[in-house]
Parts: sequence; C-alpha cells; structure tokens
Amino acid sequence: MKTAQLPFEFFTVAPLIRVGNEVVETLAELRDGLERCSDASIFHHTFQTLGRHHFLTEGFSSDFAQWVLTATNRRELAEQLASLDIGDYLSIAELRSDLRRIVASYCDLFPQYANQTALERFWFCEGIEVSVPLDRCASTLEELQAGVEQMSHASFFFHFVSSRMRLHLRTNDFSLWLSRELGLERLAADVNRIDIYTNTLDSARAALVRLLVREARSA
Amino acid sequence: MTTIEVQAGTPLDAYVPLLGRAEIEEIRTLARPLRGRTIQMINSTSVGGGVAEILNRLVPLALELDLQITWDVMAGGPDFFEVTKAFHNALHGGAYLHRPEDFEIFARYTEQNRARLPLDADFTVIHDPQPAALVEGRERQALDLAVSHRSLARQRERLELSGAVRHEI
Repeated sequence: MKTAQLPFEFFTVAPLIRVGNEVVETLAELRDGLERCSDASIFHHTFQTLGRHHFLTEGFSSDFAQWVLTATNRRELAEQLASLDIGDYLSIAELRSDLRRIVASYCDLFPQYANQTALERFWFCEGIEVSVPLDRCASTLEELQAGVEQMSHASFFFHFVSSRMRLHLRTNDFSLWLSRELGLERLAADVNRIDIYTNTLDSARAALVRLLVREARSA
Repeated sequence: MTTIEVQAGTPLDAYVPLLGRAEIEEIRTLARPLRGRTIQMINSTSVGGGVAEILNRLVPLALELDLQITWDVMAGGPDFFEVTKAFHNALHGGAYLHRPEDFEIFARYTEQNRARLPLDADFTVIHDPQPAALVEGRERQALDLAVSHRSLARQRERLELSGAVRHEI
C-alpha cells in the first residue's frame, strides 16, 4: 500500500452570503451588472449555487440563467448562459467575460428584449468561503476512501468543485493529490471526469468512492 | 428588552435520518472551537414570524453544542412597530412616504433598548430591521452580523458562519 508523503487534509466550508446593493431588472442592466459586480458575486451565482442545489440534476444551476428564464422568459439566452461549464474556467475574470459577452450579444441581436422589465428583479449577492480544517487526514487510498465516505456535502463541494478557483488548475483536490502523492495519474484523470452537472453531489461522491474501491482492488 | 428562555428542543441526533451522520458530525466539529464563546441573538418578537421560528429551534441546538447562546427581544411601543413595519414594507419594494418623525421614533426606541441591553457577547447577531441600529452600541473588536432576512429569504439562502480560514475569491 503506497503511503503519501503529504497527507490529504480534509476541510469543510461554510458560505457566507452578503446581499449587495446592485439590483437589475432588464437584460441590458444584467449585462452592465456583470461588468460591475465583484468577483465574489460571480463566484456566488455560478459556483456556490451548484453546491446549494446539489440535490438537483435538472434545471439551471447558474442563478443568472435561472433568472433569465423565469423572470425574462428568454429561454434561448438562459440556455446559452447555463451551457458555460464552470469546470472549464480557471479564473473568475474569464467566466465573467463569457457571461457578459453572451448577454451583450443577445442584447445586440434582440434589442427589443434588452430593456423589457423582468417579472422580478435580480439581486447580486456575494459569496465568501469560510473554510475550516476538519482534523482528518488520509495518507493512503483506503484512508482517502474512508474520509470521502464520511464527508459532508459542503466538504465534498469544497474539495471537488470550488477547488478549481483555488488551485487555478483544471482539476480538483482529490485528483491533484492522487496524482502528485500516489502517482495514480489514470485514477486522477478518471476522478476529474466525474460530471458535476449530471450528478448530484451525493452521486458524484459515490462515483468517486467506486473509483477508489476499484483502484484499491486492482492494486 | 426581554431575555427568552427556550425549552429544550429536538436533539441534533434526531436529524441524522434526515441529513446523514456526516452532516451532523460536521456541525459538531465546526462548533468545537467555539465552545464557551458567547453569542447573543437579538430580534423584535419571541413568537410569530420566521426569525422567532428559527431561534426557537436554533438556540437549543446551539446549547447542545456547548455554545453560550442567549436570545434577547427588544421592546417597542406601537409607534415604533408602525414605523419599522413601514421600513420593512419599503425594503420589500412597497411605497413609503418619509415622515420626519419616523427616524426620531426609531432612534428613540433604539436608544432606550441600547441603554438596557449590554451588547458584550463575543458574537452578536441582529435580526431584521427593527433592532438594526443597535449595532452602533457594539464595540468593534468582535464580529457583528446584521442579518436581513428579507433579502436572505428572497434568495432562499441560509446564512452559515464559522471561523477559520477565509478564502477571498
């Protein structure tokens, strides 16, 4: 059994939500708001909503897409916004740029919809992650599996979803550790392919456990 | 100002079948470093309304976690609650015509409550608009939270707080 030099340290996270003063009620205002709002706001309405609605695999996990659909009834724009996979982004600046570009293009293409008043307003919020070490570590594959099985949703979200913004890499904490510390490149890649959009956090975690068990058995 | 004595409620372990063992154990882990710290909840009513519903259940759970939590309800006359109701409705987007005396009434009751209530807990959580200005009575060395349940409810958010590492995104 291979033992890591640097153990995997389990953390959990609590989202601190700050409601801002920026409110929009048209698509044109949303376009401008996406340019002005803070990075923490973009993070909240894209990444954190994925964790908050972890039990759903249908509907839009992006607050922006959800508001465009339900408050402005522009399904085609909502689908474009929802099609952005947060897993592809390594910085909020890139994500913000694409969100804004999509809304701006739509407003240019359909100016008759750009200034229509929405059914309800969109309030920009900000998300701050307060992360806390859980005093649990794993040094082997088996210990990692045991730790994952005991993780809360928030902890799994922290290590598997929001980790990309922290690492600035197209990976997650588990894959990075499996690759760097245990040299399990293929397993790391398999773990990184678990789709967070077609899974709930529970089923994504179960998929991770299955991969860890399979690897342990084949070793 | 009245301090509310909350009856023992549903224990944390009763939530395990609903939420899973991992979620409950994590709450215990998060609470451990805060053991013995004082937390003061302040709102404007002990019955009715979302905040009272929350605190009636939250306070016993916090006590089970060995947090020194108290719940104080501020006092106010009908004129105070009439004004703060208008503030509340305005925050919901309703029409509000400002009368000069409104803020005088609000400030007077705030000052009366502040004089009676020591705001010296390690953490003070002020719920809703009615006691919002009490935050001025806090010394700034501790973390304060003024919680707008209007906005939070609107966003269907839960506000959670723990302390350790803070990641600025």
